[in-house]
Amino acid sequence: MIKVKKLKAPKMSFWERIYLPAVFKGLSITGRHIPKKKITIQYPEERWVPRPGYRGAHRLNRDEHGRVKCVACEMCSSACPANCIHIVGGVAPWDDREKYPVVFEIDMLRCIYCGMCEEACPREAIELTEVYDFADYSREALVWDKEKLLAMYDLTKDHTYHLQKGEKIVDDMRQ
Amino acid sequence: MPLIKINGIEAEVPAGINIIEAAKQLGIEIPHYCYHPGLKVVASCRMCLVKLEGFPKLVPACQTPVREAPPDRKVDGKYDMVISTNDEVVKDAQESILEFLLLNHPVDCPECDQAGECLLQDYTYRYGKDHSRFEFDKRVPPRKDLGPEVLLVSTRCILCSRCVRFTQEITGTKELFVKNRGARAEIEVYPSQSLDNKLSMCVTDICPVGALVTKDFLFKPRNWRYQKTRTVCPGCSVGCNVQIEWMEEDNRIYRIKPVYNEHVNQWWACDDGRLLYHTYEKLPRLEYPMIRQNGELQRTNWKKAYQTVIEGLKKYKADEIAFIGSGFLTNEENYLLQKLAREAFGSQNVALSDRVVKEDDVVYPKFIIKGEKAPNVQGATDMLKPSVTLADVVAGLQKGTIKAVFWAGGGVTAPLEADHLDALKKAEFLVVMDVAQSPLTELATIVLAGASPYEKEGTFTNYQGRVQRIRQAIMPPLAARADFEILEALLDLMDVAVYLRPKKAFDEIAATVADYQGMSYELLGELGWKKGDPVPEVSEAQQ
Ligand code: SF4
Ligand code: SF4
Ligand code: SF4
Ligand code: SF4
Ligand code: FES
Repeated sequence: MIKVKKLKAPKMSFWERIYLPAVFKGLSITGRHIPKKKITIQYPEERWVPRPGYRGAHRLNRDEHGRVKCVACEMCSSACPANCIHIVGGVAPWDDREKYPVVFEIDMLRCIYCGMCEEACPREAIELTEVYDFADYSREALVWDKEKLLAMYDLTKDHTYHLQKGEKIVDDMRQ
Repeated sequence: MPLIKINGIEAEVPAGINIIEAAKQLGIEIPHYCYHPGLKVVASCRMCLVKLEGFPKLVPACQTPVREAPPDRKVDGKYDMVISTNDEVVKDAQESILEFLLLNHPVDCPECDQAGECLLQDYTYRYGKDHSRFEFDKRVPPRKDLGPEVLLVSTRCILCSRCVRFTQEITGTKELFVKNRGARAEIEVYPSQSLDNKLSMCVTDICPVGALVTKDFLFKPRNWRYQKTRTVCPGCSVGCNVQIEWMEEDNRIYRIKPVYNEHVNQWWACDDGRLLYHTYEKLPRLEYPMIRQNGELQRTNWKKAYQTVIEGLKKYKADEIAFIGSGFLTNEENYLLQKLAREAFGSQNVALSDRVVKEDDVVYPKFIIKGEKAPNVQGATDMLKPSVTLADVVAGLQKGTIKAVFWAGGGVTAPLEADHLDALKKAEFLVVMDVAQSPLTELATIVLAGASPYEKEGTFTNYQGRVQRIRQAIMPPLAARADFEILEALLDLMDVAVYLRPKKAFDEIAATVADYQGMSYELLGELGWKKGDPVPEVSEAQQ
């Protein structure tokens, strides 16, 4: 048999019942914060730059000749827990490697930004960047193809993505 | 039998087998590259070195047979051989050999199709070092196009010479050889030759690394992504055991590889059989049951199709209907077909279609490819017990004594001859159960969309009389169904019998067809069972 023990709400005192002390206590916290430094970022005029290691949108890196570094080994898609990377390999048009990706797509909506792909890549070809503002108007537009991912590399390779976009940079909101 | 001890495990093993095989029986892996159980031993890679008590140096396990020691030479007074595969000396040798093999190896696993099923990867992981001490430029021998189906990425070759021995011993065609010596050695095809024998793709299976790759599988999705189904190749009456690698997401086959069956194909399968799935993929497949209305075939549903078949056939007298089975249908399907003829409609006009592509047998020293390009002609004959021939049916149609025909195709058959088509045009009611559109479906009153041999369950009987199970890999296209289901439904609607599954039909075959007596799917297992081989008592097997 389950024993049921009924608990009674503790009785409130007079001051507790009129709530006024609690209201003033709350307002005093608000008051203390008014003269302090403001930490709200005025996005998009101001931009927050995440710390290194932030896991935002992906990019496909280029090698020193500007070619895609990826060799279509499918390590990233094998590691991906969300199953959102789709790769079709083909014979590479260059002499120094056998294989390259003919199709490379990431479903940015399905991705959980875990970074496993980056971790798995033996060629350091896929990376998650500091880009977090890539909302779009359709699901299709958020399936990023090879060109888009390479373009992301061009935008982010110098770590100036947010500098170019925002008027004022906020490095870390906790500073 | 000699008593041996490997890594402290005692066992009696048959004399004459080598130490690798003996260790395998005890569940101990001895890494090896040049040794392949189907090829002669050359003991050249030295990967299999083990310590043998009483010998001053390590011995290659592939070349050292297990043997009885003379009474006075027995170790500890009782062991014929005492072997260690995990001694420090052995481990050191394994590490060194692997480091040596990796000197010039590009380690381009990310780009290599073998990755995931590569013995160099596996052994390096299990027995090798985690780094290389080699600081110089690696040698880069050229990539070579060996033949119509096979590419050689020479950089990855570890010169085990399995491929060379395959062309010498199994096919006897001797296209490959080792060019140069020592560090400059390379696998090469003889000048003005090409690796174009009918078994050429087998070298890519036995190549322990990714040096030999098939053009068909080149850069297809990674090998760990597939579903794998063991079945029997429908390419010819040899019935090689194969593994179909396919994907659920697009219901397509990506690769077919042989699997070992000592009685049938050993380790091999022919190129045509491996590539046969392309032929089936390209067929203009039948995807729906269809009924002819106002001269045009119209899509219908299965219920209507079944009813129309039965009502149509019932209009004719028993001896006006002919049933034609096929060497592409499974035993179960052919059995059901003749049952439909004999028991449901009382017709004795049961024939076996002879529309099978016939070529010459290709005979290699250690492999035969049959010229009869259908998997189950033997089994179909056993099941149908044809009482007439196709020629009789054709003659009957011409004379007008046969008016309705139930025709089963089931695979890539030889095209019908003109006089067959002429005769079939005369049929008043023609049911065609097949996989693809053809001149025959153009004539049909009703078309029943069946499944290819990759898409169904059952058994095939090969030319030796070995009964083997086939298993379903992919799904039939759209509304098409396994022929078994179609025949099963017809028999059910005629109130003859209900089978539900091929297994049940096979149990009935095992009870009624001579030579198949006592067989069961359990008995067939992986390797099949030959007709006429004594079947163990059922009670015994169950115990
Ligand atoms: S971040 Fe994670 S979920 Fe997203 S693509 Fe990479 S592995 Fe897949
Ligand atoms: S793991 Fe790297 S190299 Fe391999 S397919 Fe993914 S991005 Fe390309
Ligand atoms: S190509 Fe493969 S099978 Fe042939 S020698 Fe080289 S590693 Fe061995
Ligand atoms: S020999 Fe016959 S059964 Fe074997 S793979 Fe070739 S076609 Fe298939
Ligand atoms: S497997 Fe024994 S030496 Fe190669």
